[in-house]
Amino acid sequence: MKAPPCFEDSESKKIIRTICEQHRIDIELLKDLCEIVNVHAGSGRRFGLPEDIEAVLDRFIKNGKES
Amino acid sequence: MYLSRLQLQNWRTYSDAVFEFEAPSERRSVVLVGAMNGHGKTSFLLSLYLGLFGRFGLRHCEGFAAYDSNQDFKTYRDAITKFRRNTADSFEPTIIDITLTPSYRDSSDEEEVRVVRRWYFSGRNKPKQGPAFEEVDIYVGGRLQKQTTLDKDPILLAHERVERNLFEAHVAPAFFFDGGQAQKLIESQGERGLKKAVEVMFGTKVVEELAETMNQYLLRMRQTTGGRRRCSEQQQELEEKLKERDLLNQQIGKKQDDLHKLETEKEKKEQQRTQLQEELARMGGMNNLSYAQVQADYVRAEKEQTDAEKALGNLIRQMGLALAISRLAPAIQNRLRAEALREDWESLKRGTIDNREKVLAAALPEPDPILGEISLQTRTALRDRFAEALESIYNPPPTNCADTFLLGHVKGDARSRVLHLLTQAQSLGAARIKTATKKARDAHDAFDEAKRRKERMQDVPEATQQIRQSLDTINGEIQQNIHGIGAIENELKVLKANLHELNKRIGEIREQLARLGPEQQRIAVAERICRALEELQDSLQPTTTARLESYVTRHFVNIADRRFWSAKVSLAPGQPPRLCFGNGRPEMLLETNSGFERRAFGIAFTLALAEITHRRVPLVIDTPIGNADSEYRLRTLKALADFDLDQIIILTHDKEVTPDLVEHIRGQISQKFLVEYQESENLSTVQPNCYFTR
Repeated sequence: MKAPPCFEDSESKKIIRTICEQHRIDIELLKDLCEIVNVHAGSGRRFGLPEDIEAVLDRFIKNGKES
Repeated sequence: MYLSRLQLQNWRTYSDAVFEFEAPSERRSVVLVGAMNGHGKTSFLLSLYLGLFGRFGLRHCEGFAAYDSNQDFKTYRDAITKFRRNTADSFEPTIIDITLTPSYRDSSDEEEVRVVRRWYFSGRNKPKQGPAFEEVDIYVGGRLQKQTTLDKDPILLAHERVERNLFEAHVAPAFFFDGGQAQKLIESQGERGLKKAVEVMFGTKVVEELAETMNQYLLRMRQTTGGRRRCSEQQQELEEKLKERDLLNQQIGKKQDDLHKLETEKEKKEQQRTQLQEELARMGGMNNLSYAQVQADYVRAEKEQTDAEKALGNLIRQMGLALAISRLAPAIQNRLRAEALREDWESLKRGTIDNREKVLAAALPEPDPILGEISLQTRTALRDRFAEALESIYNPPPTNCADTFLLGHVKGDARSRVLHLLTQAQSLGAARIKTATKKARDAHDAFDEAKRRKERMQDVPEATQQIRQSLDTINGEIQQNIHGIGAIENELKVLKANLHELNKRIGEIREQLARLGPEQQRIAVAERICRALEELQDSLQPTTTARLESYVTRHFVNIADRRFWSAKVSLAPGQPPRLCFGNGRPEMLLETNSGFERRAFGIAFTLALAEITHRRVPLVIDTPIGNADSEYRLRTLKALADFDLDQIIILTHDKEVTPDLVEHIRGQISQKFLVEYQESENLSTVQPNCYFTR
């Protein structure tokens, strides 16, 4: 699944990037989390959601993007 | 991406029908599927919802809007049973086979996606129980995807794959819909419906869902993880410090910008000053001296010259004699020495003459024992001879002896003093005079220069005065710049010192947080994500709405009649959609317009959504223009045909997109189909390259 369109649109992407910078998170982190939510919402299942979120958060922390 | 193939087996009135769609070209994107009412248009549309998304697409079918795909399996089974061809043999499954193929405009990494969904029934066409009821095969790029994993429901897994490779089930009605749905979008849900559509299509809904999910995640983590308070406090302090640091960095950045600006200004001013000085030097032979300074220089030089001349005069007066004779001094000295010699010579000579009688008496005694008695005549002759001999001792006079006394009045000691004075005049006096003269000459030169400058200053034109004024101004400004630079540098020093301290503290907190463990680290990141998402929701909405308003207006004006050509669509939050006009014309609520205008608005809205979200997926519209008048029909059809999409499939009956109307978009039609229904067999058949005739 592709990232939500607002992450691709130049104008909204600029807004998202600015806010991400302000809060010291990565735009890719948000995209990954959106994908997780989409997958779980689309399939109607909730199990495994926290684990998937944790995996993304851990990857972000491990990659040293946590500042 | 375009719909390249649709096969329907035992689906409503279709027994086994295949629609093969050609690859669209840049100019020909429209596909017309003609079918009279009840012949299979809606079946075509429903097959897309259910074939692609199964129970997750049911809520888009008419009459199932409230369906809960997570809970209600029975309704779904009943619905599929209802949609199944009622004359099908029970052992034959109902099959929907859909293939979507990347178009020439899709990126090279896009692959063909084929979804084959089968529903199985037992005797008397009752749906099979449990997992035996439904089966889905997904092919990506021609490769069958594995159906089962140990921990996932195969249908869910398949659904996840469909969504991953195509789009989410909840946005399907934005691409596959009937004209009535477009109208209902406005009628039944108004602003709320539009907002929802935007949220879903643009992804802001996902952002909202993510915010909710992350908040729940945080809550769960805080409940299960110890040390929350400590983590939160430290995290909070870290946040504050980081914000403080951001602010400080901003301040430093601003100060550095200011400093750079001031330095640049100063540099420019210094260049200007140099230019002005050079110009002034060319005009007045001076640099940046002010008039007052030139005046002061002149007065000083004048005084120095006067003083030097006065000193020289005094010295000359003091050294008058020496000065007067200084030029003849060597001659006078020589003369005096010669006369002194003569004086000595004459003195000796005179002494000898004066003592001649004594010498003669000694030399010629009477009686003379040697000569005896001599006559007077002889004696006199001897005396004369002897006297003459005496005189000859001093004749001729000595070398360098003066012939005569020219300076006869200077004799003896007086001569010695004069000689001494002459020596002094030659050594000390001449040097002093020389120094004083040089000093006077230098003072005179300096005065002349000062005088010339003063004269030039007096003669300089007004332009020079202006240059001097500019120079004074620039000098003042440069001074101000220097003060400003100094002040900023001091402030920067303080700010950088603060930054250093702050970084130190941030480092300490991070070290403490790092020691807290992975749970707390996740909480810290999740908290930041939640705050970012909260802010994001507020920020994205206005931007998106403004863009959407602009796009919807363009498409609506394109379709609507001339009464609406100056209209601007307003989708203000909390208000129903409205049309705004200029020139004092009152606004119109969209819901007060005619049915077809509302339908046109719905279509315009869908096109705008497709545009804003950059979705290159096929648009399938069932009866897009309904019962609109002939002008509206043409405009709507043209708007659809002109829209930049890979494929637009229009499902229509013979009174809607009539053969005459088709002529207007002939150049944009890629394919036509005619679906015919044989009532006796309850069977719809597909005729490619056929359409209604006049």
